[in-house]
Amino acid sequence: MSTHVRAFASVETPVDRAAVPGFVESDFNPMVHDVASACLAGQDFDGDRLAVVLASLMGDATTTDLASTLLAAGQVHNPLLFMQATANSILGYVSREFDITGPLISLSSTDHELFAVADLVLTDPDLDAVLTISVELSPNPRTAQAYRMLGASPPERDVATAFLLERATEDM
Amino acid sequence: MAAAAPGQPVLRDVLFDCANDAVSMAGLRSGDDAAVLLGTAGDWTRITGFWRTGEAGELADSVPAHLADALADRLGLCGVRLAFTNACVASSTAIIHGWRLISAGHVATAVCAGTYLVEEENFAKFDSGRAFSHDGAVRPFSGDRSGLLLGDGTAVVVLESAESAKRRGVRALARMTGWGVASDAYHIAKPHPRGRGVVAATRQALRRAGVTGVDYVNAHGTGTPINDSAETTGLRSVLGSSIAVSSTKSTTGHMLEGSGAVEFVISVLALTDGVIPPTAGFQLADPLCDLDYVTDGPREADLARVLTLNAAFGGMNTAILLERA
Repeated sequence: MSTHVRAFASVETPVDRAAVPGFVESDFNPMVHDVASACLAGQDFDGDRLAVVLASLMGDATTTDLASTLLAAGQVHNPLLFMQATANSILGYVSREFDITGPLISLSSTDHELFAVADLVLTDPDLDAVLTISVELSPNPRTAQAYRMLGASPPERDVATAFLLERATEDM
Repeated sequence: MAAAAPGQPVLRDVLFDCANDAVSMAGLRSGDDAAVLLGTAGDWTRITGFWRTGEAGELADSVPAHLADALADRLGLCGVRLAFTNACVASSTAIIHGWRLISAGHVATAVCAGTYLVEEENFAKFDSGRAFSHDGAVRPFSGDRSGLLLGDGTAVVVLESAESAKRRGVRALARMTGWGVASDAYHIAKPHPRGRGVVAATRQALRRAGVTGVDYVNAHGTGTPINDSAETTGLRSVLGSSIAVSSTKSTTGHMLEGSGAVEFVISVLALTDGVIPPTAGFQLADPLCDLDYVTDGPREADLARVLTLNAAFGGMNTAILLERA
Protein backbone atom coordinates (compact mmCIF):
# COMPACT_ATOMS: atom_id res chain seq x y z
CA MET A 1 0.00 0.00 0.00
CA SER A 2 1.18 3.54 -0.68
CA THR A 3 -0.05 6.81 0.72
CA HIS A 4 0.11 10.36 -0.46
CA VAL A 5 -0.14 13.67 1.31
CA ARG A 6 -3.36 15.51 0.54
CA ALA A 7 -2.77 18.44 2.88
CA PHE A 8 -0.15 19.70 5.30
CA ALA A 9 -0.08 22.36 8.00
CA SER A 10 2.35 23.48 10.66
CA VAL A 11 2.32 26.15 13.32
CA GLU A 12 4.80 27.40 15.87
CA THR A 13 4.35 29.84 18.70
CA PRO A 14 4.24 32.71 19.02
CA VAL A 15 1.56 33.26 16.38
CA ASP A 16 -1.70 35.14 16.29
CA ARG A 17 -4.05 32.20 16.50
CA ALA A 18 -7.80 32.03 16.99
CA ALA A 19 -8.88 30.87 20.44
CA VAL A 20 -10.93 27.70 20.74
CA PRO A 21 -13.97 28.20 23.00
CA GLY A 22 -13.60 26.33 26.29
CA PHE A 23 -9.91 25.60 25.83
CA VAL A 24 -8.04 28.02 28.04
CA GLU A 25 -4.61 28.33 29.61
CA SER A 26 -2.64 26.15 27.19
CA ASP A 27 -1.54 26.56 23.56
CA PHE A 28 -1.72 22.79 23.07
CA ASN A 29 -5.39 22.54 22.12
CA PRO A 30 -5.63 25.66 19.92
CA MET A 31 -2.55 24.49 18.03
CA VAL A 32 -4.11 21.08 17.43
CA HIS A 33 -7.29 22.75 16.25
CA ASP A 34 -5.33 25.14 14.04
CA VAL A 35 -3.39 22.51 12.09
CA ALA A 36 -6.32 20.07 11.92
CA SER A 37 -8.61 22.77 10.54
CA ALA A 38 -6.02 23.90 8.03
CA CYS A 39 -5.79 20.35 6.67
CA LEU A 40 -9.51 19.54 6.70
CA ALA A 41 -11.24 22.79 5.76
CA GLY A 42 -12.53 22.70 2.20
CA GLN A 43 -11.57 19.07 1.73
CA ASP A 44 -14.09 16.55 0.45
CA PHE A 45 -14.04 13.48 2.68
CA ASP A 46 -16.38 11.01 4.35
CA GLY A 47 -16.20 11.55 8.11
CA ASP A 48 -16.76 7.88 8.84
CA ARG A 49 -13.83 6.93 6.61
CA LEU A 50 -11.33 9.30 8.23
CA ALA A 51 -9.15 8.47 11.25
CA VAL A 52 -7.21 10.93 13.38
CA VAL A 53 -3.97 9.96 15.12
CA LEU A 54 -2.38 12.46 17.49
CA ALA A 55 1.09 12.05 18.95
CA SER A 56 2.74 14.01 21.70
CA LEU A 57 5.54 12.71 23.88
CA MET A 58 4.74 14.96 26.83
CA GLY A 59 1.12 15.84 26.06
CA ASP A 60 -0.51 19.05 27.25
CA ALA A 61 1.98 19.73 30.02
CA THR A 62 0.76 23.30 30.49
CA THR A 63 -2.70 22.12 31.57
CA THR A 64 -1.36 19.12 33.45
CA ASP A 65 1.13 21.13 35.45
CA LEU A 66 -1.25 24.00 36.09
CA ALA A 67 -3.66 21.54 37.68
CA SER A 68 -0.83 19.91 39.59
CA THR A 69 0.53 23.17 40.97
CA LEU A 70 -2.99 24.13 42.06
CA LEU A 71 -3.26 20.80 43.84
CA ALA A 72 0.14 21.19 45.46
CA ALA A 73 -0.93 24.64 46.66
CA GLY A 74 -4.11 23.23 48.18
CA GLN A 75 -6.39 25.10 45.80
CA VAL A 76 -9.65 23.90 44.29
CA HIS A 77 -9.49 22.70 40.70
CA ASN A 78 -11.03 24.62 37.87
CA PRO A 79 -13.65 22.37 36.18
CA LEU A 80 -12.36 23.53 32.80
CA LEU A 81 -9.12 21.72 33.59
CA PHE A 82 -11.19 18.53 34.00
CA MET A 83 -12.65 19.04 30.54
CA GLN A 84 -9.18 19.57 29.07
CA ALA A 85 -7.41 16.86 31.05
CA THR A 86 -6.91 14.71 27.96
CA ALA A 87 -6.18 15.35 24.30
CA ASN A 88 -9.39 13.43 23.65
CA SER A 89 -11.27 16.65 24.31
CA ILE A 90 -9.76 18.69 21.47
CA LEU A 91 -10.01 15.67 19.17
CA GLY A 92 -13.68 15.46 20.10
CA TYR A 93 -14.05 19.15 19.34
CA VAL A 94 -12.43 18.72 15.92
CA SER A 95 -14.48 15.59 15.21
CA ARG A 96 -17.69 17.48 15.92
CA GLU A 97 -16.68 20.43 13.76
CA PHE A 98 -15.85 18.21 10.78
CA ASP A 99 -18.29 15.35 11.52
CA ILE A 100 -15.51 12.80 11.85
CA THR A 101 -16.89 9.50 13.15
CA GLY A 102 -13.88 7.31 12.38
CA PRO A 103 -11.24 6.27 14.94
CA LEU A 104 -9.58 8.94 17.12
CA ILE A 105 -6.28 7.75 18.57
CA SER A 106 -3.75 9.53 20.75
CA LEU A 107 -0.25 8.40 21.57
CA SER A 108 2.69 9.40 23.69
CA SER A 109 5.33 8.96 21.03
CA THR A 110 7.70 10.42 18.50
CA ASP A 111 6.83 11.35 14.90
CA HIS A 112 8.40 8.14 13.58
CA GLU A 113 5.97 6.03 15.58
CA LEU A 114 3.08 8.30 14.63
CA PHE A 115 3.52 7.62 10.92
CA ALA A 116 3.99 3.89 11.48
CA VAL A 117 0.69 3.81 13.37
CA ALA A 118 -1.03 5.93 10.73
CA ASP A 119 0.18 3.61 7.96
CA LEU A 120 -1.17 0.59 9.79
CA VAL A 121 -4.50 2.27 10.58
CA LEU A 122 -4.85 3.14 6.91
CA THR A 123 -4.65 -0.53 5.91
CA ASP A 124 -8.21 -0.79 7.24
CA PRO A 125 -10.45 -1.02 4.15
CA ASP A 126 -13.12 0.92 6.08
CA LEU A 127 -10.88 4.00 5.94
CA ASP A 128 -9.76 6.27 3.10
CA ALA A 129 -7.61 8.77 4.95
CA VAL A 130 -5.90 9.53 8.23
CA LEU A 131 -5.09 12.91 9.72
CA THR A 132 -1.85 12.80 11.70
CA ILE A 133 -1.15 15.49 14.25
CA SER A 134 2.06 15.87 16.19
CA VAL A 135 2.22 18.49 18.88
CA GLU A 136 4.84 19.32 21.47
CA LEU A 137 5.12 22.22 23.86
CA SER A 138 8.36 23.91 24.84
CA PRO A 139 9.47 22.59 28.20
CA ASN A 140 8.43 23.79 31.62
CA PRO A 141 10.53 22.91 34.68
CA ARG A 142 8.87 19.51 35.08
CA THR A 143 9.05 18.42 31.44
CA ALA A 144 12.57 19.83 31.08
CA GLN A 145 13.63 17.52 33.89
CA ALA A 146 11.75 14.62 32.28
CA TYR A 147 13.43 15.27 28.92
CA ARG A 148 16.82 15.19 30.67
CA MET A 149 15.98 11.90 32.35
CA LEU A 150 14.88 10.40 29.03
CA GLY A 151 17.98 11.69 27.26
CA ALA A 152 15.74 13.47 24.76
CA SER A 153 15.87 16.98 23.35
CA PRO A 154 12.91 19.23 24.04
CA PRO A 155 11.51 21.49 21.32
CA GLU A 156 12.70 25.08 21.49
CA ARG A 157 9.17 26.39 20.97
CA ASP A 158 5.62 25.09 20.84
CA VAL A 159 5.07 23.31 17.54
CA ALA A 160 2.22 21.39 15.91
CA THR A 161 2.18 19.72 12.51
CA ALA A 162 -0.56 17.86 10.67
CA PHE A 163 -0.67 15.76 7.53
CA LEU A 164 -3.81 14.53 5.82
CA LEU A 165 -2.72 11.24 4.34
CA GLU A 166 -4.77 9.09 2.03
CA ARG A 167 -4.38 5.77 0.37
CA ALA A 168 -3.06 6.21 -3.13
CA THR A 169 -5.73 5.85 -5.81
CA GLU A 170 -4.25 2.65 -7.25
CA ASP A 171 -4.72 1.02 -3.84
CA MET A 172 -8.39 2.00 -3.46
CA MET B 1 -3.70 -11.06 34.52
CA ALA B 2 -5.19 -8.42 36.76
CA ALA B 3 -3.78 -7.45 40.10
CA ALA B 4 -4.52 -5.30 43.08
CA ALA B 5 -1.93 -4.42 45.68
CA PRO B 6 -2.59 -3.28 49.24
CA GLY B 7 -1.26 -0.07 50.74
CA GLN B 8 0.09 2.51 48.34
CA PRO B 9 1.22 0.53 45.32
CA VAL B 10 3.54 2.05 42.75
CA LEU B 11 2.07 2.01 39.26
CA ARG B 12 5.27 0.72 37.65
CA ASP B 13 5.53 -2.16 40.16
CA VAL B 14 1.92 -3.26 39.71
CA LEU B 15 2.21 -3.07 35.94
CA PHE B 16 5.47 -5.01 35.82
CA ASP B 17 4.16 -7.71 38.18
CA CYS B 18 1.02 -8.15 36.07
CA ALA B 19 3.04 -8.27 32.87
CA ASN B 20 5.48 -10.83 34.27
CA ASP B 21 2.57 -13.10 35.19
CA ALA B 22 0.87 -12.67 31.82
CA VAL B 23 3.94 -13.31 29.64
CA SER B 24 4.85 -16.27 31.83
CA MET B 25 1.36 -17.73 31.35
CA ALA B 26 1.67 -17.16 27.61
CA GLY B 27 5.11 -18.78 27.45
CA LEU B 28 6.87 -15.70 26.07
CA ARG B 29 10.59 -15.37 26.61
CA SER B 30 13.08 -12.55 26.75
CA GLY B 31 14.25 -11.80 23.22
CA ASP B 32 10.92 -12.67 21.59
CA ASP B 33 9.70 -10.36 18.86
CA ALA B 34 6.46 -9.22 20.48
CA ALA B 35 4.86 -5.78 20.53
CA VAL B 36 4.25 -4.03 23.84
CA LEU B 37 1.21 -1.76 23.70
CA LEU B 38 0.24 0.10 26.84
CA GLY B 39 -2.78 2.21 27.69
CA THR B 40 -1.70 4.75 30.29
CA ALA B 41 -1.58 8.43 31.10
CA GLY B 42 1.68 7.89 32.98
CA ASP B 43 2.23 7.94 36.72
CA TRP B 44 0.62 11.18 37.89
CA THR B 45 1.91 10.78 41.43
CA ARG B 46 5.35 11.67 40.02
CA ILE B 47 3.99 14.97 38.71
CA THR B 48 2.33 15.87 41.99
CA GLY B 49 5.48 14.89 43.85
CA PHE B 50 7.64 17.09 41.64
CA TRP B 51 5.50 20.19 42.24
CA ARG B 52 5.22 19.48 45.97
CA THR B 53 8.86 18.84 46.70
CA GLY B 54 10.82 19.86 43.61
CA GLU B 55 12.46 16.45 43.62
CA ALA B 56 12.59 14.59 40.32
CA GLY B 57 12.76 11.04 41.70
CA GLU B 58 11.10 8.73 39.21
CA LEU B 59 9.68 11.63 37.20
CA ALA B 60 10.34 9.81 33.92
CA ASP B 61 7.44 7.51 34.82
CA SER B 62 5.12 10.48 34.29
CA VAL B 63 5.80 10.12 30.54
CA PRO B 64 3.57 7.37 29.09
CA ALA B 65 6.00 6.46 26.30
CA HIS B 66 8.72 5.88 28.88
CA LEU B 67 6.51 3.46 30.81
CA ALA B 68 5.86 1.45 27.64
CA ASP B 69 9.60 1.39 26.90
CA ALA B 70 10.46 0.40 30.44
CA LEU B 71 7.87 -2.39 30.38
CA ALA B 72 9.19 -3.77 27.10
CA ASP B 73 12.76 -3.57 28.41
CA ARG B 74 11.79 -5.35 31.63
CA LEU B 75 10.13 -8.14 29.64
CA GLY B 76 13.00 -8.25 27.16
CA LEU B 77 10.62 -8.05 24.21
CA CYS B 78 11.93 -6.68 20.93
CA GLY B 79 8.86 -5.55 18.98
CA VAL B 80 7.29 -2.13 18.63
CA ARG B 81 6.38 -0.43 21.89
CA LEU B 82 3.69 2.21 22.08
CA ALA B 83 1.77 4.14 24.73
CA PHE B 84 -1.87 4.94 23.99
CA THR B 85 -3.13 7.93 25.92
CA ASN B 86 -6.74 8.31 24.84
CA ALA B 87 -8.14 8.09 28.37
CA CYS B 88 -10.86 5.52 29.04
CA VAL B 89 -10.40 3.79 25.67
CA ALA B 90 -6.60 3.78 25.89
CA SER B 91 -6.13 0.11 26.68
CA SER B 92 -8.96 -1.14 24.47
CA THR B 93 -7.34 0.89 21.68
CA ALA B 94 -4.01 -0.78 22.54
CA ILE B 95 -5.64 -4.21 22.26
CA ILE B 96 -7.23 -3.33 18.93
CA HIS B 97 -3.87 -2.05 17.69
CA GLY B 98 -2.35 -5.36 18.72
CA TRP B 99 -4.93 -7.09 16.54
CA ARG B 100 -3.96 -4.77 13.67
CA LEU B 101 -0.24 -5.52 14.06
CA ILE B 102 -0.84 -9.26 14.16
CA SER B 103 -3.34 -9.21 11.32
CA ALA B 104 -0.89 -7.26 9.13
CA GLY B 105 1.83 -9.79 9.89
CA HIS B 106 4.09 -7.28 11.66
CA VAL B 107 4.28 -9.47 14.76
CA ALA B 108 2.83 -12.80 15.85
CA THR B 109 2.32 -11.70 19.43
CA ALA B 110 1.31 -8.48 21.16
CA VAL B 111 1.43 -7.82 24.89
CA CYS B 112 -1.41 -5.34 25.47
CA ALA B 113 -1.83 -3.67 28.82
CA GLY B 114 -3.73 -0.97 30.61
CA THR B 115 -3.07 0.59 33.96
CA TYR B 116 -4.44 3.20 36.31
CA LEU B 117 -4.09 3.55 40.05
CA VAL B 118 -6.19 6.10 41.91
CA GLU B 119 -4.27 9.29 42.69
CA GLU B 120 -5.19 12.76 43.83
CA GLU B 121 -4.66 14.60 40.51
CA ASN B 122 -7.45 12.85 38.66
CA PHE B 123 -9.52 12.55 41.81
CA ALA B 124 -9.49 16.35 42.09
CA LYS B 125 -10.35 16.77 38.41
CA PHE B 126 -13.32 14.41 38.49
CA ASP B 127 -14.44 16.05 41.73
CA SER B 128 -14.30 19.51 40.16
CA GLY B 129 -16.29 18.15 37.23
CA ARG B 130 -18.93 16.84 39.68
CA ALA B 131 -18.62 13.40 38.14
CA PHE B 132 -18.55 11.37 41.35
CA SER B 133 -21.39 9.35 42.82
CA HIS B 134 -23.31 11.28 45.47
CA ASP B 135 -23.91 8.29 47.74
CA GLY B 136 -20.59 6.47 47.61
CA ALA B 137 -21.81 3.68 45.35
CA VAL B 138 -21.66 3.16 41.60
CA ARG B 139 -25.15 2.18 40.40
CA PRO B 140 -24.95 1.65 36.63
CA PHE B 141 -28.28 1.70 34.80
CA SER B 142 -30.19 2.24 38.07
CA GLY B 143 -32.73 5.04 38.21
CA ASP B 144 -30.93 6.55 41.20
CA ARG B 145 -27.44 6.47 39.69
CA SER B 146 -25.53 9.67 40.33
CA GLY B 147 -21.99 9.19 39.08
CA LEU B 148 -18.83 7.15 39.05
CA LEU B 149 -16.08 6.26 41.47
CA LEU B 150 -12.46 5.72 40.52
CA GLY B 151 -10.79 2.35 41.06
CA ASP B 152 -7.36 0.77 40.76
CA GLY B 153 -6.97 -1.50 37.78
CA THR B 154 -4.18 -3.04 35.79
CA ALA B 155 -4.41 -5.90 33.34
CA VAL B 156 -2.14 -7.40 30.72
CA VAL B 157 -3.45 -9.42 27.80
CA VAL B 158 -1.29 -11.43 25.43
CA LEU B 159 -2.68 -11.65 21.90
CA GLU B 160 -1.25 -14.22 19.55
CA SER B 161 -2.09 -15.17 15.99
CA ALA B 162 -3.97 -18.43 15.64
CA GLU B 163 -1.18 -19.76 13.44
CA SER B 164 1.50 -18.99 16.02
CA ALA B 165 -0.52 -20.51 18.85
CA LYS B 166 -1.10 -23.66 16.79
CA ARG B 167 2.59 -23.86 15.91
CA ARG B 168 3.57 -23.55 19.57
CA GLY B 169 0.91 -26.03 20.61
CA VAL B 170 -0.73 -23.65 23.08
CA ARG B 171 -4.44 -23.36 23.73
CA ALA B 172 -6.00 -19.92 23.67
CA LEU B 173 -8.20 -18.71 26.52
CA ALA B 174 -10.51 -17.03 24.01
CA ARG B 175 -10.58 -15.81 20.43
CA MET B 176 -10.81 -12.12 19.55
CA THR B 177 -12.87 -12.19 16.38
CA GLY B 178 -14.10 -8.65 15.95
CA TRP B 179 -13.60 -5.06 16.96
CA GLY B 180 -14.89 -1.63 16.17
CA VAL B 181 -13.77 1.93 16.75
CA ALA B 182 -15.99 4.94 16.14
CA SER B 183 -16.53 8.48 17.31
CA ASP B 184 -19.68 10.36 18.22
CA ALA B 185 -18.74 13.72 16.59
CA TYR B 186 -21.00 15.24 19.22
CA HIS B 187 -19.34 16.76 22.33
CA ILE B 188 -15.95 16.96 24.06
CA ALA B 189 -17.20 15.30 27.25
CA LYS B 190 -20.77 14.00 26.77
CA PRO B 191 -21.76 10.89 24.85
CA HIS B 192 -24.12 11.14 21.91
CA PRO B 193 -27.62 10.71 23.44
CA ARG B 194 -28.54 7.96 20.98
CA GLY B 195 -25.16 6.25 21.23
CA ARG B 196 -24.03 7.04 17.69
CA GLY B 197 -20.47 5.82 18.29
CA VAL B 198 -21.57 2.81 20.34
CA VAL B 199 -23.82 1.72 17.48
CA ALA B 200 -21.12 2.15 14.84
CA ALA B 201 -18.39 0.41 16.89
CA THR B 202 -20.70 -2.49 17.78
CA ARG B 203 -21.79 -2.96 14.17
CA GLN B 204 -18.16 -2.98 13.03
CA ALA B 205 -17.28 -5.63 15.61
CA LEU B 206 -20.22 -7.84 14.61
CA ARG B 207 -19.39 -7.46 10.92
CA ARG B 208 -15.72 -8.30 11.40
CA ALA B 209 -16.66 -11.39 13.41
CA GLY B 210 -19.27 -12.38 10.82
CA VAL B 211 -22.02 -12.68 13.41
CA THR B 212 -25.30 -10.91 14.09
CA GLY B 213 -25.44 -11.07 17.86
CA VAL B 214 -23.68 -11.84 21.14
CA ASP B 215 -24.72 -13.53 24.38
CA TYR B 216 -23.52 -10.89 26.83
CA VAL B 217 -22.26 -7.30 26.77
CA ASN B 218 -19.76 -6.02 29.32
CA ALA B 219 -20.87 -2.41 29.07
CA HIS B 220 -18.89 0.75 29.66
CA GLY B 221 -21.59 1.51 32.27
CA THR B 222 -19.99 4.31 34.27
CA GLY B 223 -23.02 4.95 36.45
CA THR B 224 -23.38 8.53 35.24
CA PRO B 225 -26.89 9.53 34.18
CA ILE B 226 -25.97 10.43 30.60
CA ASN B 227 -23.59 7.57 29.80
CA ASP B 228 -25.87 4.74 30.79
CA SER B 229 -28.97 5.94 28.95
CA ALA B 230 -26.97 6.70 25.78
CA GLU B 231 -25.22 3.33 25.88
CA THR B 232 -28.55 1.58 26.45
CA THR B 233 -30.13 3.34 23.49
CA GLY B 234 -27.24 2.40 21.24
CA LEU B 235 -27.13 -1.22 22.38
CA ARG B 236 -30.89 -1.67 22.06
CA SER B 237 -30.83 -0.43 18.48
CA VAL B 238 -28.19 -3.00 17.46
CA LEU B 239 -28.75 -5.98 19.75
CA GLY B 240 -32.37 -5.67 20.87
CA SER B 241 -33.85 -5.18 24.32
CA SER B 242 -33.37 -8.72 25.63
CA ILE B 243 -29.56 -8.66 25.50
CA ALA B 244 -27.83 -9.52 28.80
CA VAL B 245 -25.72 -6.55 29.90
CA SER B 246 -23.74 -5.73 33.00
CA SER B 247 -21.35 -3.07 34.16
CA THR B 248 -18.48 -4.43 36.22
CA LYS B 249 -17.48 -0.87 37.05
CA SER B 250 -20.16 -1.27 39.70
CA THR B 251 -17.62 -3.39 41.60
CA THR B 252 -14.24 -2.31 40.23
CA GLY B 253 -14.86 1.41 39.95
CA HIS B 254 -13.75 3.31 36.86
CA MET B 255 -10.15 2.43 36.08
CA LEU B 256 -9.71 5.04 33.33
CA GLU B 257 -6.81 3.93 31.10
CA GLY B 258 -6.91 0.48 32.72
CA SER B 259 -10.61 -0.11 32.06
CA GLY B 260 -10.43 -1.64 28.60
CA ALA B 261 -7.79 -4.21 29.51
CA VAL B 262 -9.36 -5.17 32.86
CA GLU B 263 -12.81 -5.51 31.30
CA PHE B 264 -11.31 -7.57 28.46
CA VAL B 265 -10.03 -9.98 31.13
CA ILE B 266 -13.41 -10.00 32.88
CA SER B 267 -15.06 -10.79 29.55
CA VAL B 268 -12.65 -13.67 28.93
CA LEU B 269 -13.45 -15.02 32.42
CA ALA B 270 -17.18 -14.76 31.69
CA LEU B 271 -16.64 -16.87 28.57
CA THR B 272 -14.39 -19.46 30.21
CA ASP B 273 -16.43 -19.76 33.43
CA GLY B 274 -19.88 -19.50 31.84
CA VAL B 275 -20.87 -16.82 34.32
CA ILE B 276 -22.12 -13.31 33.66
CA PRO B 277 -20.76 -10.93 36.31
CA PRO B 278 -23.51 -8.81 37.85
CA THR B 279 -24.28 -5.12 37.94
CA ALA B 280 -23.96 -4.32 41.62
CA GLY B 281 -25.81 -1.49 43.32
CA PHE B 282 -28.83 -1.56 41.03
CA GLN B 283 -31.85 -0.37 43.03
CA LEU B 284 -34.38 1.30 40.81
CA ALA B 285 -35.62 0.84 37.26
CA ASP B 286 -35.10 3.71 34.86
CA PRO B 287 -37.40 3.98 31.83
CA LEU B 288 -34.39 5.12 29.80
CA CYS B 289 -32.46 1.97 30.74
CA ASP B 290 -34.50 -1.05 29.73
CA LEU B 291 -32.11 -3.91 28.96
CA ASP B 292 -31.43 -7.11 30.94
CA TYR B 293 -28.81 -5.75 33.34
CA VAL B 294 -28.11 -8.93 35.39
CA THR B 295 -28.72 -7.26 38.74
CA ASP B 296 -29.42 -10.23 41.04
CA GLY B 297 -25.91 -11.63 41.37
CA PRO B 298 -23.77 -13.69 39.01
CA ARG B 299 -25.76 -15.57 36.38
CA GLU B 300 -24.70 -18.88 34.89
CA ALA B 301 -25.00 -18.82 31.14
CA ASP B 302 -23.73 -20.78 28.16
CA LEU B 303 -21.75 -17.96 26.59
CA ALA B 304 -20.29 -18.33 23.11
CA ARG B 305 -19.75 -14.65 22.33
CA VAL B 306 -19.15 -11.63 24.53
CA LEU B 307 -18.84 -7.98 23.57
CA THR B 308 -16.89 -5.54 25.72
CA LEU B 309 -17.50 -1.82 25.23
CA ASN B 310 -15.58 1.25 26.30
CA ALA B 311 -16.07 4.95 25.75
CA ALA B 312 -14.11 8.08 26.54
CA PHE B 313 -14.00 11.85 26.50
CA GLY B 314 -14.13 13.25 23.01
CA GLY B 315 -16.87 10.78 22.03
CA MET B 316 -14.50 7.87 21.44
CA ASN B 317 -15.96 4.35 21.46
CA THR B 318 -14.46 0.88 21.16
CA ALA B 319 -16.08 -2.54 20.91
CA ILE B 320 -14.22 -5.86 21.13
CA LEU B 321 -15.92 -9.18 20.38
CA LEU B 322 -14.57 -12.31 22.06
CA GLU B 323 -15.56 -15.90 21.34
CA ARG B 324 -15.02 -19.10 23.23
CA ALA B 325 -11.80 -20.82 22.13
